[in-house]
Amino acid sequence: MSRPSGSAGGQGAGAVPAAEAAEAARTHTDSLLEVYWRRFKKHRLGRIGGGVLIALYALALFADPLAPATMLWTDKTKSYQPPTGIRFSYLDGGRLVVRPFTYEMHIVNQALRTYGRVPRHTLRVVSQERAAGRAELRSLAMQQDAAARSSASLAAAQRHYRLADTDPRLAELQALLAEVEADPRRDLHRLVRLHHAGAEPETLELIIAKGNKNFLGLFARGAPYRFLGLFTARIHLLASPTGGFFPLGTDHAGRDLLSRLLHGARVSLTVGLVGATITFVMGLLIGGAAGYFGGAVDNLLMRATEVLLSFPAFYLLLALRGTFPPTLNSVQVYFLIVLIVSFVNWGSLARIVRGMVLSLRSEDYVLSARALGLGPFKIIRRHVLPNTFSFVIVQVTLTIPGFILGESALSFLGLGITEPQSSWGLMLSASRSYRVVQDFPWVLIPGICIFVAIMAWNFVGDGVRDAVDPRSRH
Amino acid sequence: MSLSLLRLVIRRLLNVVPILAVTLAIAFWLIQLAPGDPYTEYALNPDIRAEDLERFRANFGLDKPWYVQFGRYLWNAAQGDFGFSQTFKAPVVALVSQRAANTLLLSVVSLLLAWGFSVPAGIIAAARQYRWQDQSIAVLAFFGLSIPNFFLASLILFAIASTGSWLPIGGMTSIDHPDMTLLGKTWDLAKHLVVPALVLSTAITASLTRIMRANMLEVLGQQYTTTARAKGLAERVVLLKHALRNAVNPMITILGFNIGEILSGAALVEFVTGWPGLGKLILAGLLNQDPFLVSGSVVYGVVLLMIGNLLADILLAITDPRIRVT
Repeated sequence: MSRPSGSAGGQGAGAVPAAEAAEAARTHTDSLLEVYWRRFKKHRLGRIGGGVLIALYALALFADPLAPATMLWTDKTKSYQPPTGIRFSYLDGGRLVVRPFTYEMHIVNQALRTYGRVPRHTLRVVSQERAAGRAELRSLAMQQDAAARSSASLAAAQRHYRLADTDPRLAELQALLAEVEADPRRDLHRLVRLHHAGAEPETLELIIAKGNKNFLGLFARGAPYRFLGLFTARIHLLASPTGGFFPLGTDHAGRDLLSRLLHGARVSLTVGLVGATITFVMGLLIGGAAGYFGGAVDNLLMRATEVLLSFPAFYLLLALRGTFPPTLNSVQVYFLIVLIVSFVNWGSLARIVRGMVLSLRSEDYVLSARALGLGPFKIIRRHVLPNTFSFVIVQVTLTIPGFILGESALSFLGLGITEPQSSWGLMLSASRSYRVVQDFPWVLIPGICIFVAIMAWNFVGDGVRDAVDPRSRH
Repeated sequence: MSLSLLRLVIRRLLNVVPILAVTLAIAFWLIQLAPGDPYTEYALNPDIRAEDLERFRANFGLDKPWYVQFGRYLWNAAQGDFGFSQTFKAPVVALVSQRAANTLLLSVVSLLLAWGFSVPAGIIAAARQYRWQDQSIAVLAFFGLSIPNFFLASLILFAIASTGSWLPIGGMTSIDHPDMTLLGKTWDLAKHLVVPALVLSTAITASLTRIMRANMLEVLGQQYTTTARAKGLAERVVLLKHALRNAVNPMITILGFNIGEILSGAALVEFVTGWPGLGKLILAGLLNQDPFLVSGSVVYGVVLLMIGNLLADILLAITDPRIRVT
C-alpha cells in the first residue's frame, strides 16, 4: 500500500485538479493512505459526518455510565411518561433552595394516560440495595395526614422485604419515618441503612423521600451495571437515586427511553461495521477468485451472483429470516441479522471486484509475478487485491448505511432484535401505530437517531469517495 | 419492433430460464428449511378439511424423499400451484396474484414520481451548479437518502392524523369503495396511493437526482455541448435538446436496479401504510409461519423484478441504438 503518492496522483492524470497534482509533487514520501486522509480532511461534509459518528460511537461505548438508568430498569406504573425537564430551584417555606431536580410524576388520567406531578405532601420509600432478581421498592403515600403516610410507607416496606412484625428494623424505620415527617423542610431525602445482625445478616438500604422532587446528582449512585463486562459500577453521569428522571420519556413498559436508546445504539451502530467487514471479505474473495481464475470458476460464481441479484433484496432478507426459528437469544439474533444482511449484499461488490481483477490480471506486474513462480493465492493477495482496495473501501463505506437500515427494518418488523434487548429499530416499532405517535410523540426519537447515523455515514461515504477517487468529484 | 430488438428480447428471455429454475429451487428449499413441518401443523388445524389435507399431501408428495418433493413442487409451480396458505385459508396463487398487482401499481407510480422529480431536479442542479438551487437540492437529496422509509411513513401519517386526516392513513380503499362510481373509485384509490408512493419514491428520487446531476455535468463538459453553445444556441435548447438525451441514457441503465430497490422498499412501506401488497403478504406469512405463502411470494417478487429488468432493457435498446448491436 505504501506506494509513493506521485503514482497515486498519476492515476487520474488529466482529470486531477492542478492543485492536487502540485500537492502530490510536494509530498513525495506520503503513503497513499496519508494522501487519502489529507483529501478527506478537506471534505467539509465528510468531516462533519466523521465527527458525528465518533460522538455516536462514543455514546454507544459509554452507554452504561451515561444512561440515567439501565436498559432493563422498568417501572410498570410509568408507561409512556413524558420527558421530565430539569429544574434548578424551588421554594421551601419561603426559602429559595438551589438544587437540580425533576418532579415525581404519576398518572392522573388512566384512560388518556396523562401524567401530573404528585402532590407535595408525598412520602416515598425507595430501595437502594437492588438485589438481583428482586424488584425495587417504590412506595408512594399521598395521604393528607402525616401519620397515615408514615404507616402506609411502613406497611409497603414490610410487604416488600417480607419483614416479620417483630423485626427490630421495622421499629427503626418507623422512628426514621416519623423523624423525616417531623422535619420542618418540605422536601427532604434521607438515605437510611437498616442492619439486621441475626443468623443471616442483611442490610436494607432505603431512601425516605419527602415531597414531590427527585434530586439529581452528577456522577450519582444508581442501578449497578457491568461496564463492558469488565467490572461492576454504579456511577451514572446524571441520575436521580430515587428514580423518576426520564430526559426523553419512557416507553410502553415504563423504561427510560434515553437509557434504552444509548444501549440500543450498540446494536444499531455495530451492525454496520461488522456487516460491512463480512461483506468486504466475501466480496473480495468471491470477486477476486472469479476474476483471477476465469473460466468455469468465474462462470459458476457469477451465475450465483446473478441469481442473488435477481431477488428483490428485502424479500430475500425476509425469506432467509423465515428459515430460522423465531425464538433465538439476543446474541444469536444479532449475528443472524448481520450474516443475513451481509449475505444479501455481497453480490454487487463481488461483481465489481471481478471486473477490476479481470483487467488487472493482464497487467505486466501480475504477469511478472507469475513468471517468477508465485502461487495464484499469493498473487491475488499481494498484487491484485491491494489494487482494488481503494475502490472497495469506498464501496464498503457506502454500504454501511444499508446495514443500519436493514437491521432497523427487521427489528422494526419484529423479526430482528427482540425485547427485552434494545435496538433503534425495535424501539421505533412503537411508532407503527400512529395513535401512539399522536399521544406520545417521543417514541419517534429513535427514528431521528437512525436518520442521523445514516446521514453521517452517507457524508463520510461521500468524503471517502471524493478522497479516494477525485475524478468522481462533480 | 426491429429484428435486432427482437433478438435482444429472446436472448434475455433465455437468460431468465436458469434464474427462474434456481429461484424455484430456493423457494422449495425455504419451505424445507422453515422451522416446523407445515403438514403436521395443518393436520392439527380443525379448520382444514380432511380431504383438502389428503389432496395437499398427495400433491406435494410430503411422504416421499426430497427430490420427489422437489419434482412435485416444480410440476405444481408450472401449473400455477404454489400450495395452500394456512393463514388466509386460500390457495397461495390466488392471494399472491392479487397482491402482486397492488405492489405493481404502487411501484410503477413511485417510479414515475421518482423520475418526474429527479430528472428536472438533476437538470436544475447541474445548470445552477454550486448556487443555492444546487445546494438546496443536494441537501434534500441527502435527506431523502438518509431517512428510513418506515420512519418517514410514520412521520407523514402522524402529520396527516394530527392535521385533521385530510388524506387516508392506511389501506388501499375506503370502506364504501364498492359503492362508488368508477371515477369515484379511481379518486379514492389515488388518495390512498399518495402517502405510500411518496414515501417509497423518496430514497430513489434522492439517488436518481444525484446521478442525473452528475450525468448532466459530464455531458455539459463534453465538446459537443461547447459546440452547441458556440453555435449560439439558447441555453434552454443546449440543456434540454443536446444534453438531456445523452444524460438520461445512463438513468435508464440503472432503471433495472431501481426496480429491485422499489420492490424491496415496497415491502416495508406496505407494512407501515397498510397497503395490501406482496411485501405485506410475505410478512404475514413469516409472522404466521406459513412457508408456502412465503416461498410463493418470493417467486412472484423475483418474477416481477425480472419483468421489470426486461422492460428496462427494451427501453434502453429503444433509446440507445448502440445497445442493440452488442
